[in-house]
Amino acid sequence: MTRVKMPDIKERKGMAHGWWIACVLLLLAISFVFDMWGDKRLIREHKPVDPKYYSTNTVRHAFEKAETAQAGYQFECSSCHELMEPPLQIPKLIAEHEDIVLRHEAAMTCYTCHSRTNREVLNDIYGTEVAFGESENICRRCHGPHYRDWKLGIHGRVMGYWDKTKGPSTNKTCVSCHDPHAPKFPLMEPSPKPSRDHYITGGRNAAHDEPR
Amino acid sequence: MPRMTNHDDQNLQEGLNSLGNEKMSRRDFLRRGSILATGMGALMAAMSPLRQLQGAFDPEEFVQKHYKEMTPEEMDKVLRRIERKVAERFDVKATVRDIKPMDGVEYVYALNLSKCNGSRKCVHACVNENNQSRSPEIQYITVLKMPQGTMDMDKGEILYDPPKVPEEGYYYMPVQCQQCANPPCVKVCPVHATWQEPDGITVIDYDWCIGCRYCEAACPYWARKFNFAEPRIPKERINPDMSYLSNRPRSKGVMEKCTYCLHRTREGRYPACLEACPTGARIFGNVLDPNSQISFVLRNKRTFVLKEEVGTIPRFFYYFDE
Repeated sequence: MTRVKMPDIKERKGMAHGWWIACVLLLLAISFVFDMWGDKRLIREHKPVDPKYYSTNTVRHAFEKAETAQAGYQFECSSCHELMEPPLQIPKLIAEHEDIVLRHEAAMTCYTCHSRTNREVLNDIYGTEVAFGESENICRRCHGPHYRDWKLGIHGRVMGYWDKTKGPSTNKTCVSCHDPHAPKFPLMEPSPKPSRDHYITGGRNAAHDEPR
Repeated sequence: MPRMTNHDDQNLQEGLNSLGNEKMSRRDFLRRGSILATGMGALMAAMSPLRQLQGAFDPEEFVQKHYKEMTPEEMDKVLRRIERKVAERFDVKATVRDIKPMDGVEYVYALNLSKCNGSRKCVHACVNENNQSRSPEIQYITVLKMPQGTMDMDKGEILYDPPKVPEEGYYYMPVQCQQCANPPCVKVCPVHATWQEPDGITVIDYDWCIGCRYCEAACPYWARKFNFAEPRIPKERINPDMSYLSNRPRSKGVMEKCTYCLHRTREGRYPACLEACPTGARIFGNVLDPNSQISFVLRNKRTFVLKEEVGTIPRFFYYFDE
Protein backbone atom coordinates (compact mmCIF):
# COMPACT_ATOMS: atom_id res chain seq x y z
CA MET A 1 0.00 0.00 0.00
CA THR A 2 1.36 3.38 -0.96
CA ARG A 3 1.52 6.08 1.60
CA VAL A 4 -1.18 8.62 1.31
CA LYS A 5 -0.52 11.99 2.84
CA MET A 6 -3.71 13.90 3.26
CA PRO A 7 -3.19 17.54 2.37
CA ASP A 8 -3.43 20.02 5.16
CA ILE A 9 -5.85 22.53 3.79
CA LYS A 10 -4.89 25.19 6.31
CA GLU A 11 -1.35 25.24 5.02
CA ARG A 12 -2.17 25.09 1.32
CA LYS A 13 -1.07 28.08 -0.71
CA GLY A 14 -3.05 27.10 -3.83
CA MET A 15 -6.35 28.52 -2.67
CA ALA A 16 -6.07 31.40 -5.14
CA HIS A 17 -5.67 28.90 -7.97
CA GLY A 18 -8.81 27.17 -6.80
CA TRP A 19 -10.76 30.38 -7.26
CA TRP A 20 -9.43 30.86 -10.75
CA ILE A 21 -10.33 27.35 -11.79
CA ALA A 22 -13.78 27.70 -10.30
CA CYS A 23 -14.38 30.95 -12.18
CA VAL A 24 -13.24 29.47 -15.49
CA LEU A 25 -15.45 26.43 -14.99
CA LEU A 26 -18.40 28.63 -14.13
CA LEU A 27 -17.91 30.73 -17.26
CA LEU A 28 -17.61 27.60 -19.37
CA ALA A 29 -20.75 26.20 -17.81
CA ILE A 30 -22.68 29.38 -18.60
CA SER A 31 -21.42 29.40 -22.17
CA PHE A 32 -22.38 25.75 -22.69
CA VAL A 33 -25.83 26.16 -21.23
CA PHE A 34 -26.61 29.11 -23.46
CA ASP A 35 -24.63 27.68 -26.40
CA MET A 36 -22.89 31.02 -26.80
CA TRP A 37 -20.54 30.18 -29.66
CA GLY A 38 -22.16 27.05 -31.01
CA ASP A 39 -24.32 26.65 -34.09
CA LYS A 40 -27.46 26.37 -31.95
CA ARG A 41 -28.15 23.12 -33.88
CA LEU A 42 -31.84 23.77 -33.91
CA ILE A 43 -33.81 21.55 -36.21
CA ARG A 44 -35.48 23.34 -39.01
CA GLU A 45 -39.21 22.82 -39.06
CA HIS A 46 -40.35 21.56 -42.47
CA LYS A 47 -43.92 21.98 -43.48
CA PRO A 48 -45.41 18.59 -44.46
CA VAL A 49 -45.80 18.40 -48.22
CA ASP A 50 -49.19 18.82 -49.81
CA PRO A 51 -50.94 15.42 -50.25
CA LYS A 52 -51.27 16.12 -53.98
CA TYR A 53 -47.53 15.46 -54.26
CA TYR A 54 -47.99 11.81 -53.36
CA SER A 55 -51.56 11.10 -54.42
CA THR A 56 -52.09 7.97 -56.48
CA ASN A 57 -54.40 9.76 -58.92
CA THR A 58 -53.72 9.49 -62.63
CA VAL A 59 -52.74 12.62 -64.49
CA ARG A 60 -56.12 12.90 -66.20
CA HIS A 61 -59.62 11.60 -65.83
CA ALA A 62 -60.77 8.79 -68.10
CA PHE A 63 -64.34 9.02 -69.31
CA GLU A 64 -66.38 5.88 -69.25
CA LYS A 65 -68.97 7.34 -71.59
CA ALA A 66 -69.12 10.23 -74.02
CA GLU A 67 -68.22 13.48 -72.31
CA THR A 68 -71.74 14.90 -72.54
CA ALA A 69 -73.27 11.86 -70.85
CA GLN A 70 -70.50 11.92 -68.24
CA ALA A 71 -71.20 15.54 -67.37
CA GLY A 72 -74.92 14.77 -66.92
CA TYR A 73 -76.18 16.71 -69.92
CA GLN A 74 -79.52 15.70 -71.32
CA PHE A 75 -78.50 16.07 -74.94
CA GLU A 76 -76.42 13.61 -76.87
CA CYS A 77 -73.60 14.21 -79.28
CA SER A 78 -75.87 13.49 -82.24
CA SER A 79 -78.24 16.31 -81.19
CA CYS A 80 -75.79 18.68 -82.80
CA HIS A 81 -73.93 16.39 -85.13
CA GLU A 82 -77.09 15.32 -86.96
CA LEU A 83 -77.25 18.81 -88.36
CA MET A 84 -73.63 19.55 -89.01
CA GLU A 85 -70.87 17.55 -90.45
CA PRO A 86 -67.53 18.62 -88.94
CA PRO A 87 -64.90 19.27 -91.56
CA LEU A 88 -62.23 16.70 -92.16
CA GLN A 89 -59.56 19.35 -92.14
CA ILE A 90 -57.88 19.75 -88.77
CA PRO A 91 -57.81 22.10 -86.94
CA LYS A 92 -60.99 23.89 -87.73
CA LEU A 93 -62.94 23.68 -84.51
CA ILE A 94 -65.50 26.42 -84.19
CA ALA A 95 -67.90 27.27 -81.38
CA GLU A 96 -67.68 23.83 -79.73
CA HIS A 97 -64.75 21.60 -78.78
CA GLU A 98 -62.40 24.58 -78.84
CA ASP A 99 -60.37 23.05 -76.05
CA ILE A 100 -59.51 20.06 -78.21
CA VAL A 101 -56.10 20.29 -79.78
CA LEU A 102 -55.37 17.45 -82.15
CA ARG A 103 -51.69 16.71 -81.81
CA HIS A 104 -51.63 13.02 -82.43
CA GLU A 105 -50.59 12.11 -85.93
CA ALA A 106 -50.67 14.32 -89.00
CA ALA A 107 -52.87 11.98 -90.99
CA MET A 108 -55.53 11.63 -88.31
CA THR A 109 -58.93 13.25 -88.44
CA CYS A 110 -61.91 13.12 -86.08
CA TYR A 111 -63.22 10.05 -87.91
CA THR A 112 -60.09 8.02 -87.33
CA CYS A 113 -61.51 7.33 -83.89
CA HIS A 114 -65.03 8.84 -83.77
CA SER A 115 -67.78 7.10 -85.69
CA ARG A 116 -69.06 9.18 -88.60
CA THR A 117 -72.54 7.73 -88.38
CA ASN A 118 -73.07 7.28 -84.63
CA ARG A 119 -71.54 9.97 -82.45
CA GLU A 120 -72.23 8.07 -79.22
CA VAL A 121 -69.58 5.50 -80.04
CA LEU A 122 -66.06 5.37 -81.37
CA ASN A 123 -64.68 3.30 -84.19
CA ASP A 124 -61.29 1.86 -84.88
CA ILE A 125 -59.38 2.22 -88.13
CA TYR A 126 -61.27 -0.73 -89.63
CA GLY A 127 -64.63 0.87 -88.86
CA THR A 128 -65.55 -1.46 -86.02
CA GLU A 129 -67.67 0.28 -83.42
CA VAL A 130 -66.05 0.65 -79.98
CA ALA A 131 -67.68 1.99 -76.81
CA PHE A 132 -66.16 5.04 -75.09
CA GLY A 133 -65.15 2.93 -72.09
CA GLU A 134 -63.13 0.51 -74.19
CA SER A 135 -61.05 2.95 -76.16
CA GLU A 136 -57.89 0.83 -75.75
CA ASN A 137 -59.29 -1.32 -78.57
CA ILE A 138 -58.80 1.63 -80.89
CA CYS A 139 -55.32 2.49 -79.64
CA ARG A 140 -54.03 -1.06 -80.05
CA ARG A 141 -54.64 -0.97 -83.80
CA CYS A 142 -51.56 1.24 -84.10
CA HIS A 143 -49.73 0.83 -80.77
CA GLY A 144 -49.37 -2.95 -80.68
CA PRO A 145 -46.23 -3.30 -78.52
CA HIS A 146 -47.60 -0.83 -75.99
CA TYR A 147 -50.91 -2.68 -75.89
CA ARG A 148 -49.07 -5.96 -75.28
CA ASP A 149 -47.03 -4.39 -72.46
CA TRP A 150 -50.15 -2.76 -71.00
CA LYS A 151 -52.02 -6.07 -71.04
CA LEU A 152 -49.11 -7.63 -69.13
CA GLY A 153 -49.14 -4.79 -66.64
CA ILE A 154 -45.74 -3.36 -67.49
CA HIS A 155 -46.93 -0.29 -69.38
CA GLY A 156 -49.00 2.19 -67.49
CA ARG A 157 -50.40 2.35 -64.00
CA VAL A 158 -51.16 -0.70 -61.92
CA MET A 159 -52.62 -0.61 -58.44
CA GLY A 160 -53.50 -3.19 -55.83
CA TYR A 161 -51.90 -6.60 -55.49
CA TRP A 162 -48.87 -8.07 -57.24
CA ASP A 163 -49.92 -11.46 -55.84
CA LYS A 164 -53.11 -12.28 -57.69
CA THR A 165 -53.99 -14.97 -55.13
CA LYS A 166 -54.24 -12.30 -52.41
CA GLY A 167 -56.27 -9.70 -54.22
CA PRO A 168 -57.01 -7.93 -57.48
CA SER A 169 -54.88 -5.46 -59.35
CA THR A 170 -56.31 -2.81 -61.58
CA ASN A 171 -54.81 -1.52 -64.79
CA LYS A 172 -55.59 2.06 -65.66
CA THR A 173 -56.65 2.52 -69.27
CA CYS A 174 -54.70 4.39 -71.97
CA VAL A 175 -56.82 7.52 -71.62
CA SER A 176 -56.21 7.71 -67.86
CA CYS A 177 -52.79 9.10 -68.68
CA HIS A 178 -52.82 10.00 -72.37
CA ASP A 179 -55.15 12.57 -73.87
CA PRO A 180 -56.31 10.78 -77.03
CA HIS A 181 -56.22 14.05 -78.95
CA ALA A 182 -52.67 14.88 -77.81
CA PRO A 183 -51.26 11.69 -76.36
CA LYS A 184 -47.83 12.91 -75.33
CA PHE A 185 -47.56 12.55 -71.55
CA PRO A 186 -48.08 16.03 -70.07
CA LEU A 187 -45.35 17.97 -68.30
CA MET A 188 -45.79 17.90 -64.55
CA GLU A 189 -44.99 20.05 -61.59
CA PRO A 190 -42.32 18.17 -59.61
CA SER A 191 -42.83 17.45 -55.92
CA PRO A 192 -40.70 19.46 -53.48
CA LYS A 193 -36.99 18.87 -53.66
CA PRO A 194 -35.15 17.33 -50.74
CA SER A 195 -33.99 19.73 -48.08
CA ARG A 196 -30.33 20.05 -47.25
CA ASP A 197 -30.65 22.43 -44.32
CA HIS A 198 -31.96 20.27 -41.56
CA TYR A 199 -30.18 21.57 -38.53
CA ILE A 200 -28.64 24.98 -38.77
CA THR A 201 -31.01 27.90 -38.63
CA GLY A 202 -29.57 31.29 -39.42
CA GLY A 203 -25.84 31.80 -39.21
CA ARG A 204 -23.38 30.49 -41.69
CA ASN A 205 -25.72 28.35 -43.77
CA ALA A 206 -28.50 30.90 -44.08
CA ALA A 207 -27.73 31.34 -47.77
CA HIS A 208 -29.07 27.83 -48.43
CA ASP A 209 -32.35 28.34 -46.63
CA GLU A 210 -34.95 28.20 -49.32
CA PRO A 211 -38.22 27.26 -47.67
CA ARG A 212 -40.82 26.01 -50.05
CA MET B 1 -3.31 -7.62 2.98
CA PRO B 2 -0.66 -5.13 4.16
CA ARG B 3 -1.17 -3.84 7.65
CA MET B 4 -1.59 -0.19 8.35
CA THR B 5 1.46 1.24 10.07
CA ASN B 6 1.32 3.68 12.92
CA HIS B 7 2.71 6.31 10.67
CA ASP B 8 -0.11 5.92 8.17
CA ASP B 9 -2.60 6.02 10.97
CA GLN B 10 -1.17 9.24 12.29
CA ASN B 11 -1.25 10.81 8.85
CA LEU B 12 -4.87 9.87 8.40
CA GLN B 13 -5.74 11.29 11.77
CA GLU B 14 -4.11 14.59 10.88
CA GLY B 15 -6.00 14.74 7.65
CA LEU B 16 -9.29 14.00 9.34
CA ASN B 17 -8.61 16.64 11.96
CA SER B 18 -7.90 19.23 9.32
CA LEU B 19 -11.24 18.37 7.71
CA GLY B 20 -12.97 18.49 11.07
CA ASN B 21 -15.09 21.47 12.00
CA GLU B 22 -13.32 22.52 15.18
CA LYS B 23 -10.19 23.60 13.33
CA MET B 24 -11.91 25.28 10.35
CA SER B 25 -12.33 29.02 10.32
CA ARG B 26 -15.47 30.71 8.97
CA ARG B 27 -13.48 32.12 6.07
CA ASP B 28 -12.20 28.69 5.11
CA PHE B 29 -15.66 27.26 5.30
CA LEU B 30 -17.14 29.89 2.99
CA ARG B 31 -14.29 29.58 0.55
CA ARG B 32 -14.48 25.87 0.35
CA GLY B 33 -18.24 25.87 0.24
CA SER B 34 -18.40 28.31 -2.66
CA ILE B 35 -15.76 26.41 -4.62
CA LEU B 36 -17.68 23.22 -4.06
CA ALA B 37 -20.94 24.85 -5.17
CA THR B 38 -19.31 26.28 -8.30
CA GLY B 39 -17.75 22.95 -9.12
CA MET B 40 -21.03 21.12 -8.70
CA GLY B 41 -22.75 23.70 -10.89
CA ALA B 42 -20.16 23.25 -13.61
CA LEU B 43 -20.46 19.48 -13.41
CA MET B 44 -24.22 19.61 -13.71
CA ALA B 45 -23.99 21.93 -16.68
CA ALA B 46 -21.53 19.57 -18.35
CA MET B 47 -23.88 16.65 -17.75
CA SER B 48 -26.96 18.55 -18.94
CA PRO B 49 -27.20 16.69 -22.29
CA LEU B 50 -27.98 13.59 -20.25
CA ARG B 51 -31.21 15.16 -19.06
CA GLN B 52 -32.60 14.80 -22.58
CA LEU B 53 -32.09 11.07 -22.34
CA GLN B 54 -34.52 10.79 -19.47
CA GLY B 55 -37.64 9.03 -20.61
CA ALA B 56 -35.82 7.58 -23.59
CA PHE B 57 -34.39 4.86 -21.41
CA ASP B 58 -36.68 1.91 -21.14
CA PRO B 59 -35.49 -1.10 -19.13
CA GLU B 60 -37.73 -3.43 -21.16
CA GLU B 61 -36.23 -2.15 -24.38
CA PHE B 62 -32.76 -2.40 -22.89
CA VAL B 63 -33.05 -6.13 -22.20
CA GLN B 64 -34.94 -6.83 -25.43
CA LYS B 65 -33.47 -9.67 -27.50
CA HIS B 66 -32.38 -9.58 -31.12
CA TYR B 67 -35.23 -9.96 -33.63
CA LYS B 68 -34.11 -13.42 -34.68
CA GLU B 69 -33.82 -14.66 -31.09
CA MET B 70 -37.23 -13.59 -29.87
CA THR B 71 -39.90 -16.22 -29.32
CA PRO B 72 -43.36 -15.43 -30.74
CA GLU B 73 -44.60 -14.57 -27.23
CA GLU B 74 -41.71 -12.20 -26.60
CA MET B 75 -42.27 -10.67 -30.02
CA ASP B 76 -45.91 -10.13 -29.20
CA LYS B 77 -45.00 -8.35 -25.97
CA VAL B 78 -42.55 -6.14 -27.84
CA LEU B 79 -45.13 -5.28 -30.49
CA ARG B 80 -47.66 -4.25 -27.83
CA ARG B 81 -45.01 -2.15 -26.13
CA ILE B 82 -44.20 -0.41 -29.41
CA GLU B 83 -47.90 0.29 -29.90
CA ARG B 84 -48.03 1.84 -26.43
CA LYS B 85 -44.99 3.95 -27.17
CA VAL B 86 -46.43 5.15 -30.48
CA ALA B 87 -49.61 6.12 -28.66
CA GLU B 88 -47.54 8.05 -26.07
CA ARG B 89 -45.31 9.72 -28.58
CA PHE B 90 -47.70 10.61 -31.38
CA ASP B 91 -51.13 10.15 -29.81
CA VAL B 92 -52.02 7.74 -32.62
CA LYS B 93 -53.55 4.29 -32.30
CA ALA B 94 -51.37 2.11 -34.48
CA THR B 95 -51.20 -1.62 -35.18
CA VAL B 96 -47.67 -2.99 -35.20
CA ARG B 97 -47.20 -6.43 -36.71
CA ASP B 98 -44.33 -8.74 -37.43
CA ILE B 99 -44.87 -10.00 -40.98
CA LYS B 100 -42.82 -13.00 -42.02
CA PRO B 101 -41.58 -13.53 -45.58
CA MET B 102 -43.61 -15.70 -47.96
CA ASP B 103 -42.23 -18.96 -49.24
CA GLY B 104 -41.06 -19.09 -52.85
CA VAL B 105 -40.94 -15.33 -53.22
CA GLU B 106 -38.00 -13.14 -54.12
CA TYR B 107 -38.74 -9.51 -54.74
CA VAL B 108 -37.20 -7.69 -57.65
CA TYR B 109 -37.80 -4.17 -58.82
CA ALA B 110 -37.36 -2.73 -62.29
CA LEU B 111 -37.54 0.88 -63.33
CA ASN B 112 -38.17 2.14 -66.84
CA LEU B 113 -35.94 5.16 -67.32
CA SER B 114 -37.70 6.01 -70.58
CA LYS B 115 -40.88 6.63 -68.58
CA CYS B 116 -39.63 8.28 -65.41
CA ASN B 117 -40.29 12.00 -65.64
CA GLY B 118 -38.65 13.06 -62.39
CA SER B 119 -41.88 14.10 -60.68
CA ARG B 120 -40.60 12.81 -57.30
CA LYS B 121 -44.04 11.53 -56.36
CA CYS B 122 -42.47 8.21 -55.38
CA VAL B 123 -40.23 10.01 -52.88
CA HIS B 124 -43.12 11.57 -51.01
CA ALA B 125 -45.39 8.54 -51.28
CA CYS B 126 -42.58 6.58 -49.64
CA VAL B 127 -42.15 9.14 -46.86
CA ASN B 128 -45.88 9.08 -46.24
CA GLU B 129 -46.05 5.29 -46.18
CA ASN B 130 -42.97 4.58 -44.10
CA ASN B 131 -43.23 7.20 -41.33
CA GLN B 132 -39.92 8.86 -42.09
CA SER B 133 -38.96 11.93 -40.12
CA ARG B 134 -40.33 15.10 -41.72
CA SER B 135 -38.00 17.45 -39.86
CA PRO B 136 -35.21 16.75 -40.20
CA GLU B 137 -36.15 15.28 -43.54
CA ILE B 138 -35.37 11.66 -44.33
CA GLN B 139 -36.15 10.22 -47.74
CA TYR B 140 -35.32 6.75 -49.00
CA ILE B 141 -35.48 7.57 -52.71
CA THR B 142 -33.05 9.98 -54.34
CA VAL B 143 -34.05 11.12 -57.83
CA LEU B 144 -31.06 12.10 -59.95
CA LYS B 145 -31.45 14.45 -62.89
CA MET B 146 -28.94 13.07 -65.39
CA PRO B 147 -27.76 14.70 -68.61
CA GLN B 148 -28.67 12.51 -71.57
CA GLY B 149 -25.77 10.54 -72.94
CA THR B 150 -24.04 9.65 -69.68
CA MET B 151 -24.44 7.03 -67.01
CA ASP B 152 -22.01 8.76 -64.63
CA MET B 153 -23.97 9.14 -61.41
CA ASP B 154 -21.64 11.91 -60.26
CA LYS B 155 -23.17 14.10 -62.98
CA GLY B 156 -26.61 13.67 -61.47
CA GLU B 157 -28.34 16.61 -59.86
CA ILE B 158 -30.50 16.04 -56.80
CA LEU B 159 -31.85 19.50 -56.02
CA TYR B 160 -33.49 20.21 -59.39
CA ASP B 161 -36.67 22.22 -59.05
CA PRO B 162 -37.98 23.54 -62.38
CA PRO B 163 -41.65 24.55 -62.77
CA LYS B 164 -42.27 21.57 -65.06
CA VAL B 165 -40.60 18.20 -65.55
CA PRO B 166 -39.19 16.47 -67.54
CA GLU B 167 -36.68 19.00 -68.81
CA GLU B 168 -35.32 18.80 -72.33
CA GLY B 169 -32.00 16.97 -72.57
CA TYR B 170 -32.20 15.14 -69.25
CA TYR B 171 -33.39 11.82 -67.95
CA TYR B 172 -34.27 11.02 -64.37
CA MET B 173 -32.94 8.15 -62.33
CA PRO B 174 -34.51 7.34 -58.95
CA VAL B 175 -32.08 5.49 -56.68
CA GLN B 176 -33.14 3.65 -53.54
CA CYS B 177 -32.04 0.54 -51.68
CA GLN B 178 -31.16 -2.03 -54.34
CA GLN B 179 -31.74 -4.99 -51.96
CA CYS B 180 -28.44 -6.48 -53.05
CA ALA B 181 -27.94 -10.24 -53.06
CA ASN B 182 -24.40 -9.56 -51.84
CA PRO B 183 -25.00 -6.61 -49.55
CA PRO B 184 -21.91 -4.78 -48.29
CA CYS B 185 -23.98 -3.03 -45.61
CA VAL B 186 -24.79 -6.35 -43.94
CA LYS B 187 -21.16 -7.44 -43.93
CA VAL B 188 -19.90 -4.36 -42.11
CA CYS B 189 -22.52 -4.27 -39.35
CA PRO B 190 -20.60 -5.01 -36.15
CA VAL B 191 -23.67 -6.10 -34.18
CA HIS B 192 -25.75 -8.00 -36.80
CA ALA B 193 -28.50 -5.43 -36.58
CA THR B 194 -29.09 -5.72 -40.33
CA TRP B 195 -29.46 -8.88 -42.38
CA GLN B 196 -30.96 -10.26 -45.56
CA GLU B 197 -34.33 -11.97 -45.29
CA PRO B 198 -35.21 -15.10 -47.34
CA ASP B 199 -37.28 -12.99 -49.76
CA GLY B 200 -34.27 -10.83 -50.55
CA ILE B 201 -35.11 -7.78 -48.47
CA THR B 202 -32.35 -6.41 -46.29
CA VAL B 203 -33.90 -5.28 -43.03
CA ILE B 204 -32.76 -3.50 -39.87
CA ASP B 205 -33.71 -4.23 -36.27
CA TYR B 206 -33.99 -0.61 -35.16
CA ASP B 207 -33.79 -1.67 -31.51
CA TRP B 208 -30.53 -3.51 -32.10
CA CYS B 209 -28.79 -0.85 -34.20
CA ILE B 210 -26.04 1.02 -32.37
CA GLY B 211 -25.88 3.84 -34.90
CA CYS B 212 -22.24 3.40 -35.94
CA ARG B 213 -23.11 4.23 -39.57
CA TYR B 214 -20.66 1.70 -41.01
CA CYS B 215 -23.44 0.46 -43.30
CA GLU B 216 -24.07 3.96 -44.59
CA ALA B 217 -20.42 4.19 -45.58
CA ALA B 218 -20.45 0.72 -47.12
CA CYS B 219 -23.51 1.25 -49.31
CA PRO B 220 -22.55 2.31 -52.86
CA TYR B 221 -26.10 3.59 -53.55
CA TRP B 222 -26.56 6.11 -50.68
CA ALA B 223 -29.57 4.06 -49.66
CA ARG B 224 -29.13 4.12 -45.90
CA LYS B 225 -30.25 7.13 -43.93
CA PHE B 226 -29.37 8.05 -40.38
CA ASN B 227 -31.56 9.64 -37.73
CA PHE B 228 -29.28 12.40 -36.48
CA ALA B 229 -32.10 13.87 -34.42
CA GLU B 230 -35.28 12.59 -32.86
CA PRO B 231 -37.60 12.02 -35.85
CA ARG B 232 -40.55 14.35 -35.90
CA ILE B 233 -43.74 13.51 -37.76
CA PRO B 234 -47.02 15.44 -37.60
CA LYS B 235 -49.68 13.35 -35.90
CA GLU B 236 -52.05 13.44 -38.86
CA ARG B 237 -49.35 12.12 -41.21
CA ILE B 238 -48.61 8.94 -39.24
CA ASN B 239 -49.35 5.75 -41.13
CA PRO B 240 -50.93 3.54 -38.43
CA ASP B 241 -50.33 0.29 -40.37
CA MET B 242 -46.88 -0.54 -39.03
CA SER B 243 -44.53 -3.48 -38.94
CA TYR B 244 -41.54 -4.20 -36.76
CA LEU B 245 -38.99 -4.43 -39.56
CA SER B 246 -40.23 -1.63 -41.76
CA ASN B 247 -42.23 1.47 -40.97
CA ARG B 248 -42.65 1.66 -37.20
CA PRO B 249 -41.36 5.01 -35.94
CA ARG B 250 -37.61 5.06 -35.44
CA SER B 251 -35.69 6.79 -32.70
CA LYS B 252 -32.69 9.07 -32.71
CA GLY B 253 -29.39 7.43 -33.56
CA VAL B 254 -30.51 4.50 -35.73
CA MET B 255 -30.17 3.75 -39.42
CA GLU B 256 -33.13 3.21 -41.70
CA LYS B 257 -33.66 2.36 -45.34
CA CYS B 258 -36.09 1.19 -48.00
CA THR B 259 -37.59 -2.25 -47.29
CA TYR B 260 -39.62 -2.50 -50.52
CA CYS B 261 -42.55 -1.62 -48.20
CA LEU B 262 -42.43 -5.13 -46.73
CA HIS B 263 -45.57 -4.56 -44.67
CA ARG B 264 -47.37 -4.14 -47.99
CA THR B 265 -45.45 -6.44 -50.30
CA ARG B 266 -45.45 -9.42 -47.93
CA GLU B 267 -49.22 -9.20 -48.01
CA GLY B 268 -49.24 -9.25 -51.79
CA ARG B 269 -49.65 -5.53 -52.37
CA TYR B 270 -47.51 -3.25 -54.50
CA PRO B 271 -45.04 -0.90 -52.80
CA ALA B 272 -46.19 2.68 -52.21
CA CYS B 273 -43.69 4.22 -54.64
CA LEU B 274 -45.02 2.07 -57.47
CA GLU B 275 -48.63 3.04 -56.89
CA ALA B 276 -47.80 6.73 -56.75
CA CYS B 277 -45.64 6.81 -59.88
CA PRO B 278 -47.67 8.88 -62.36
CA THR B 279 -45.96 7.39 -65.42
CA GLY B 280 -46.02 3.71 -64.49
CA ALA B 281 -42.24 3.50 -64.74
CA ARG B 282 -41.94 1.08 -61.84
CA ILE B 283 -42.34 -2.70 -62.16
CA PHE B 284 -42.36 -4.91 -59.08
CA GLY B 285 -42.94 -8.56 -58.47
CA ASN B 286 -41.81 -12.04 -57.62
CA VAL B 287 -38.90 -13.04 -59.82
CA LEU B 288 -39.36 -16.72 -58.96
CA ASP B 289 -42.74 -16.70 -60.70
CA PRO B 290 -42.04 -17.04 -64.45
CA ASN B 291 -45.38 -15.44 -65.33
CA SER B 292 -44.90 -12.30 -63.24
CA GLN B 293 -44.49 -8.86 -64.73
CA ILE B 294 -40.98 -8.54 -63.43
CA SER B 295 -39.95 -11.85 -65.03
CA PHE B 296 -41.27 -10.60 -68.38
CA VAL B 297 -39.28 -7.39 -68.05
CA LEU B 298 -36.08 -9.21 -67.15
CA ARG B 299 -36.53 -11.59 -70.10
CA ASN B 300 -37.56 -9.06 -72.72
CA LYS B 301 -36.10 -5.66 -71.86
CA ARG B 302 -32.47 -4.69 -71.89
CA THR B 303 -32.02 -4.25 -68.17
CA PHE B 304 -28.90 -3.18 -66.33
CA VAL B 305 -27.92 -2.58 -62.72
CA LEU B 306 -26.13 0.34 -61.11
CA LYS B 307 -22.44 -0.01 -60.31
CA GLU B 308 -22.31 -3.59 -61.54
CA GLU B 309 -18.53 -3.53 -61.13
CA VAL B 310 -18.71 -3.39 -57.32
CA GLY B 311 -20.27 -6.84 -57.24
CA THR B 312 -23.26 -6.14 -55.02
CA ILE B 313 -25.69 -8.06 -57.30
CA PRO B 314 -28.64 -5.69 -56.90
CA ARG B 315 -32.28 -6.77 -57.06
CA PHE B 316 -33.13 -3.44 -58.66
CA PHE B 317 -32.92 -3.18 -62.43
CA TYR B 318 -33.12 -0.23 -64.79
CA TYR B 319 -33.99 -0.23 -68.46
CA PHE B 320 -34.78 2.01 -71.39
CA ASP B 321 -37.41 0.76 -73.81
CA GLU B 322 -38.07 3.66 -76.16
